[in-house]
Amino acid sequence: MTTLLSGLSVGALFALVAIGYQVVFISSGIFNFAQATLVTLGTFLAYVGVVTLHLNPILTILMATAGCTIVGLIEERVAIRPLSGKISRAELVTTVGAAALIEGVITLIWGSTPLEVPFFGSTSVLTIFGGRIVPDSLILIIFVIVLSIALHVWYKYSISGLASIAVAEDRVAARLRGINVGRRSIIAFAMGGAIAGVAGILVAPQTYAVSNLGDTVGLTAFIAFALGGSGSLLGATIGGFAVGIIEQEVARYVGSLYVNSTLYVVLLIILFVMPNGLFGRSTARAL
Amino acid sequence: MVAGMTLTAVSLGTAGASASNSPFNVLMIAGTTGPVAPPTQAEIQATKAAASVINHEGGIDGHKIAVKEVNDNLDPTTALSELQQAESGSAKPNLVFAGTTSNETLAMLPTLTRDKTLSMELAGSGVFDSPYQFALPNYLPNQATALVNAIKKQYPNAKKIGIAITNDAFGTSLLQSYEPAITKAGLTYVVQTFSDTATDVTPELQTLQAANPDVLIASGYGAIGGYIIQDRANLGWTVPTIGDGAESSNDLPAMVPASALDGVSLIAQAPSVYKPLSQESKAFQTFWKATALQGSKFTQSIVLYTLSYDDLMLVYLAAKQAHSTSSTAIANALEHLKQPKVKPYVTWSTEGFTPKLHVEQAPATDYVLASAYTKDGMALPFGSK
Repeated sequence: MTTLLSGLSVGALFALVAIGYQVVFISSGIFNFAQATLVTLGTFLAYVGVVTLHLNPILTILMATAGCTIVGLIEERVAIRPLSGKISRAELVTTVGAAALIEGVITLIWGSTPLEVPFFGSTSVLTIFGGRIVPDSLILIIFVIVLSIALHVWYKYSISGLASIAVAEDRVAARLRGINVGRRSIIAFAMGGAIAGVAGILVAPQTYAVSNLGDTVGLTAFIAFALGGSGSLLGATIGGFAVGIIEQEVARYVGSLYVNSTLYVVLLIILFVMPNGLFGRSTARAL
Repeated sequence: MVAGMTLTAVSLGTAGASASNSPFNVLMIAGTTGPVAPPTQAEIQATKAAASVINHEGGIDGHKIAVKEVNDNLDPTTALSELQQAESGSAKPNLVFAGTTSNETLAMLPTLTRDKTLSMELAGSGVFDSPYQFALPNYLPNQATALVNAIKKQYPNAKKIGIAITNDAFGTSLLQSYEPAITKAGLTYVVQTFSDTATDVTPELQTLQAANPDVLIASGYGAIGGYIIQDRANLGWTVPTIGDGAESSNDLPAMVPASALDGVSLIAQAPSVYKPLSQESKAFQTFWKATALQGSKFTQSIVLYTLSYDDLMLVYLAAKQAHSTSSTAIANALEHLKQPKVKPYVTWSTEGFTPKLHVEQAPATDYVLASAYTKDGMALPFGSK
């Protein structure tokens, strides 16, 4: 059971980044490679709030959220908007550049040594169904589930959410319908940044604030994204948890050398059987 | 006579500080920006400290040392280009600190060897085949022996060792040095490896826990080192744990809660264990004060500073014994270094190289078991908090 809980805990981190990928992708049609680095920034801002400024958790979350949102907006303005209507898929390069730049600035400011960010609550280990888990991991798991459901409902039932999905499906048609496509893109990057900021204080007690966290997590979170299917928030969440559980169970019972190969085999099998991922939708257009 | 000696040095083509008032040029080509900037800056700080101490003593064979640092951004091509510029310039280097990583060193080595320029390095494997290249990294077999000796001394009833270690190149090298040392000591071992990019090593530790080792060796550089200690605590596993050289490079008290460090100790180089400055050797006191004067504070493992300091001190000592600044003479003296009564170096009890091995072999007895807790950036003595 401890291995399963550990898998859920690691999976929550992957799911969180994958949800960030989805939020930006759904609303703007862009895959933001810098999302995991924004989560890294969130952990450092949590460090500043908790350790440097001794702020309470609420103020720390607000500060980290504001900081990551601003950086997300700057990324949209500098790395995405200038490309609008120009070169197809050039943002694949510019978002990687944004990630490298953010990571470089983080390293310049805070260095490369991992920094501890103490959890604001109890650190006593909990026992659940015989398995051991620390409270911060449990809260991260719950947070990811709640966030995923809340965003799913928002996209499915709110006008603003539906407008975002419309933009993702067909930007031209959405614009003809009066949807401000540019604003959707801004909102998407702001939301991605905000999620990273809120997450920082929950992720950091497990991973520390460490400058290369984005490199470590980004690729595995992409597997979660692909596994769940592009455009599906619940898919990203389930994909993240599935990847985390597979990783930890394989490491426990097969061997850590087989973790990555197992993940890619599972991904390949699922994509062979379901090319759009577990929850992705295929769309048909009549021409 | 002096003119004759100068002519000889020039005709041999060896890099020497010929005129008596010319400086002994030390060129440090390394990555001074980016992720490795803090350790590189520490190396520069300590080298400048050694230069100031040596200059105060009259310099190397009468030549004052001039230290110049150049940023190569860890790029081997840039490193080589900077070296070539320096070699063809008016201030030809007498000693080069060739790169932060082996990649830079390898790029520069042919030029260094061709020009018979003496060079030192900290990070590399030291297996480079050059008569002018020397290295002071930790010599892994001796470190492994020291680790096993410490286990046998501190935990005499231990029969089985668990090893939690990363599966990157460095972790693999470490593991290869541990296996013969453990077997030779009559102990058995179980190993779990994991990626250095993992964010949780609970399953691997569970597997080790199930094998019920008497002592755990923890090995991870960076965040992964913290995860090992943290996940061990989260599992409620109280097995005595010793962090190896990779693990002891981490500032564990800054990474994990104090409660997670219960039962955790580190194998450490003797100078990295805290003692009040007044109880340190005179050479260490000189090192400490000189290094502190060159920078604001010690931000890296103290051994990084002492090794850099010793690099230059060894060259100073060799030049003194050779009565020459020619690279050939210094290299020869480094290979046959006579240990002085008053040692200017501070890392190991004896230092020097052999004609066959240009990697310094730190004596196993120079490693000690230390607490995971730190004071002023140094490990506290074993059992202290």
